[in-house]
Amino acid sequence: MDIMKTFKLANEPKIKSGFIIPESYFDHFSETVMQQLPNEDPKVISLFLSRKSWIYAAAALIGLGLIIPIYNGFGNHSSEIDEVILENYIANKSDISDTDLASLLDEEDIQKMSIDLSIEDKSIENELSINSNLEQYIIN
Amino acid sequence: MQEEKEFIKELLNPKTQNQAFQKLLKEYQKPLYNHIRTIVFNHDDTDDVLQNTFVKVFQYLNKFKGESRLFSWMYRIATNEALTFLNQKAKINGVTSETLQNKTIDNLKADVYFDGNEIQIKLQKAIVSLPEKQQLVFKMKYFEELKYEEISEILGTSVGALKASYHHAVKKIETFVKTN
Repeated sequence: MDIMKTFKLANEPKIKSGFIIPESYFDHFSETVMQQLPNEDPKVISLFLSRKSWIYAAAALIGLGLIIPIYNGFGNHSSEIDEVILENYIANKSDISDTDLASLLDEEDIQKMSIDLSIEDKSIENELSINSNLEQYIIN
Repeated sequence: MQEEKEFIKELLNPKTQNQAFQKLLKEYQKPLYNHIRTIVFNHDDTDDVLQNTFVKVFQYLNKFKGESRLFSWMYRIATNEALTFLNQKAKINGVTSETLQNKTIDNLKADVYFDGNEIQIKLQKAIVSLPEKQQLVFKMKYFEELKYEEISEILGTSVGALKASYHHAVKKIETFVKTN
């Protein structure tokens, strides 16, 4: 105990760590390590999505789900359809017949469409006399 | 130095790599084992850390720029591996690194791979009470008997600062032994 009170490291005999290496530990150590060394094999890329990729995909879908309604809200303030587009649509749709169209018109629509042709007989005769295609009109 | 450059070339050449690495293993396995053992204390942990150290050395060989000697570069990897291992083990056990080290030292008496008396255990406890850097300097100088120049290369600290650090460590250890 007195030795402890006057303890000076330089005055003491060298104190060893006391650690013992198991016998024959190093006999197979290099083999063990050599087996663990990475090989230069080509990297294998999985065809399946990794967990991280699934998270990114889900995040992208959620983002799109939020952006599309917002974009539509900003880009289209009117619910009215452009008349020209509508006309073109009807004109080009061959499966809509005149009868189909007529059935959609009510009395008021027909009234609006009627044209007042108050032309005097004399004017008609005049027009016919100067028109060289008269015969063609009659045939048709 | 020229010899070392040639040896590094052999380590990097796929044709000579295996043979050169086995030579490296034979030369450094014992000194690195002793270095790691003084940090983590028990044999099984030392075995794990030593294996990891050599695997990392192999993996990072192509990044070794030759700015320092191969030996000091390997010692640095071994030191980092050992300290990381200690910190992770302490974290897993929910204690500080110092508490873990003290607990491990208490268990040394029952360790079949430890042959030491009361003063050896007290010395280990005294070392654990030092700051991490001082612990490393003391262990490398006192137990591993490395030269200050070599320790300087490994730890990247000037020789003067290392001498001062060792001196402080010795004083603190003496005080610890006297009062505990």
